[in-house]
Amino acid sequence: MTTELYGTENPRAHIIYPKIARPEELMAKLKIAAFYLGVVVFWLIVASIYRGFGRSWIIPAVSVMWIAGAVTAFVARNDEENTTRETRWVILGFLGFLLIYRSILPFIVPLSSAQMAAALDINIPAVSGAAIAGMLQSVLLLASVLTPVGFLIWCGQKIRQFHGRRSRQAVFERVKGVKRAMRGDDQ
Amino acid sequence: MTISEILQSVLVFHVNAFYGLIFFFQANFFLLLGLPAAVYLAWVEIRAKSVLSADDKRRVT
Repeated sequence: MTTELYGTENPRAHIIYPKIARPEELMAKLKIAAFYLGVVVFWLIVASIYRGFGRSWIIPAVSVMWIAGAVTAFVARNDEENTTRETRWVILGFLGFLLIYRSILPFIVPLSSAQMAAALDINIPAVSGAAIAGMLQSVLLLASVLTPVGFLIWCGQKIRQFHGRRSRQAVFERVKGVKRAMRGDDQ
Repeated sequence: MTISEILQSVLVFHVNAFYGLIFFFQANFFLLLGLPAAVYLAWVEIRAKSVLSADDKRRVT
């Protein structure tokens, strides 16, 4: 009976899952939903803090990250759970960096060149104040552009790896089929 | 306050909220693309969670 049931091609077809979710399962699902909701709200808050930059760059960039994660999870089905988890953590980290950067800046920027020169005990020209402002802007642009780009590259390599694995599996199946045919038990 | 006044205020409130949403999504157009993707990801993870926590010792993966 057991071999009759489980010796078939697809053992999953005979497995029955419980229809009603247990409390801990329901709690886990609610936690996941709350996490996603929290990330989306955090996304909107950070974008509104950054005003024009948020509207013109942070919302599109994070949208592209969500879409890339969804496409990767849809295409590379064997690893969809890890893809979703990594997507939400990368987005949360990206937004967290932007928020921390924005909240630390007001403490650093008011320091004058003379104060910095005294703190570092080196000669800093007065014009370096403008250079610092430019550097802060560059850091923001680099971090906010390179993080989504890096994430897209990661998604791309994941999809590529999945296709490679699938084609390798197809080759194995073909070789097995040839061997079966040579043995004469080809069905 | 009559019933028609209450209905009118409810109508005005909802039309206002509706136009507010439209203007919001017009200003942040990419949200319309990003939010469904986020919902899809949440759905995938919730679905995976329900399979993993099913109380079935015979699960073969």
